[in-house]
Amino acid sequence: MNKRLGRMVAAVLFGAALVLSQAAWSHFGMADAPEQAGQHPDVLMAYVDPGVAGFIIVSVLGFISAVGYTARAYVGRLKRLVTGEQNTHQDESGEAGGRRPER
Amino acid sequence: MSAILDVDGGSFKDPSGRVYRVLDAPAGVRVVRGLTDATAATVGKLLSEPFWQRLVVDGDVVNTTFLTHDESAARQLIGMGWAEAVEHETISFVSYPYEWPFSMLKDAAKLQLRLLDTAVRNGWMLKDATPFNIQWQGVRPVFIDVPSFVPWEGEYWRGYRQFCSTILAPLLVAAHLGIPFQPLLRSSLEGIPPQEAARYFYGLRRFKRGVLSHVVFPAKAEERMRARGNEGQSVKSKGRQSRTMLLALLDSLARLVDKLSYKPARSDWSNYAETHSYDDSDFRSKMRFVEEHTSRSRPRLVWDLGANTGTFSRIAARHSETVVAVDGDQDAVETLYRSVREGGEQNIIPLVMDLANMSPGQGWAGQERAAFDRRRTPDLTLCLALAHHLRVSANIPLSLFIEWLRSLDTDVIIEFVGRDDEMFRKLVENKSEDYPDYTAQNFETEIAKRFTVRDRLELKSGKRQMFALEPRRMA
Repeated sequence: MNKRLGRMVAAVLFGAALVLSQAAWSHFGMADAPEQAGQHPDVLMAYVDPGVAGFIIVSVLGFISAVGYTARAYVGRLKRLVTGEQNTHQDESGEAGGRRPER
Repeated sequence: MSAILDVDGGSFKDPSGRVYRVLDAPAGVRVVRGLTDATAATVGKLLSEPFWQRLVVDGDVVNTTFLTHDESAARQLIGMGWAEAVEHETISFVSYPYEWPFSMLKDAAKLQLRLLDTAVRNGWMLKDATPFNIQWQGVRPVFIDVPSFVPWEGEYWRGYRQFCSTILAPLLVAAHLGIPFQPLLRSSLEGIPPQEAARYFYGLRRFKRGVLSHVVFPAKAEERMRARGNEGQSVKSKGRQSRTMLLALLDSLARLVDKLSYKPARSDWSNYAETHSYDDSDFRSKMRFVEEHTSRSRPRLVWDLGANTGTFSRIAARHSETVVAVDGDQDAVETLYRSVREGGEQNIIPLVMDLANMSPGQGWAGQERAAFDRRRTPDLTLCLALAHHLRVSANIPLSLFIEWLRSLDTDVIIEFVGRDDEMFRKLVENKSEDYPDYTAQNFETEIAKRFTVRDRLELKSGKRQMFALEPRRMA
């Protein structure tokens, strides 16, 4: 019974997301056809800086990434707890070095 | 005594310094940078940081040292108004992102993200994110713009948009849609801005990996903010970002870039080693000829024009400091880059370029990004089985091609493919023109006007000929 309810809720949510995303695309003028072709969005001499949304974009993406980053860290910890493996991932303590390349 | 040769045409954008090439009698050409007082203090602090020293040891950033004021080059820069001068390790040949195959741009992206990650963890930031700040020592990417490192005081990553436009969007377009990014980057040095990139990803394409978050969302956000700005509302974009969020964003970008892939098609040229038209004996003779003449002259810089997957670039690389292997077939160059990177002659720089339309001088006054043949003169140029392609496919008269070769003032190893060669016949099969200037006799007449033939070799029973040439100089 609970499973069926869960599936129904998921289906309704999925449908709503689909409708909303389509509405959002058309609201923002992101229909399939590139109808604005020909207008270069980075007109060099424009008065409004093309990077004007930089802070908002980086903040939103940073927040979403941080959620995923944290979730992955917890999942990793949980996995290691279950399997008893040692942490071989990169140093997350904030020390110098960062990610190293595979050469 | 040092003499300033010229100023780097692309280094004027950052007022904190300027790059100059200096000719020094014993050391050859050196690269020095004049710095303002404030930037010199920042660079001084940076050079003393342990993380920086580790990056230098790993070869990720260009080695940089301060010049003392009694050095000739420093004196000249100070005389020009700079407060201090630093010297950078030289790069053997400068190349640009619009000449790199997919995996080179991808490796440049990974280096850029790794450096920023390291910098942020140590209280520093990269103030921009252009791939022009990365050059190649063979197949190893090196970050060259030292003053890009600035102390981080918590402000948001302003280079994100530049990273997306000049690196990520080109990679996404190539990986997801198979569209070569080189012509796009060559025509727009600022890259593919989000709103333009978004137009490539219409319909379900916008759900491909990384597109919604790094193309569609930024495009929409910019559009809204610009609209607000045009309506006269305030659209100031300043703010701080937490270290965790920035590191998480960098981590997510690094994982995205890592997952982007490009599969080279099996084009005529990417499979050249198996599909060429020589028998074993002729192929060995050709390799021996190239080996003999490169080992004899031991050139510092070799250009291999029409390099395919680099069979002869590798031979030249064994006897020279650097080989720039150029081909118009991006699949062949991609294959070459991957194979050299995985283990091979590490002093080869593979570049994608249509040889009938080489990279021109670009940017401000046509000098910001130098034309391919104005960057550094090679000591030896290989043109193996190239002239017939330029003549037939690009309609470049033989005399013009040889004149251009002479203008390089370099030794040349050239292979002439005769009209009776099956590959030439295949090339002209559906052409209506006869190419009357393309004959062995005319070829020899044209080279005799400009070069001295040091050696020659017949291949495929005389259907092809190899020549080792030396430029003829006026007495």
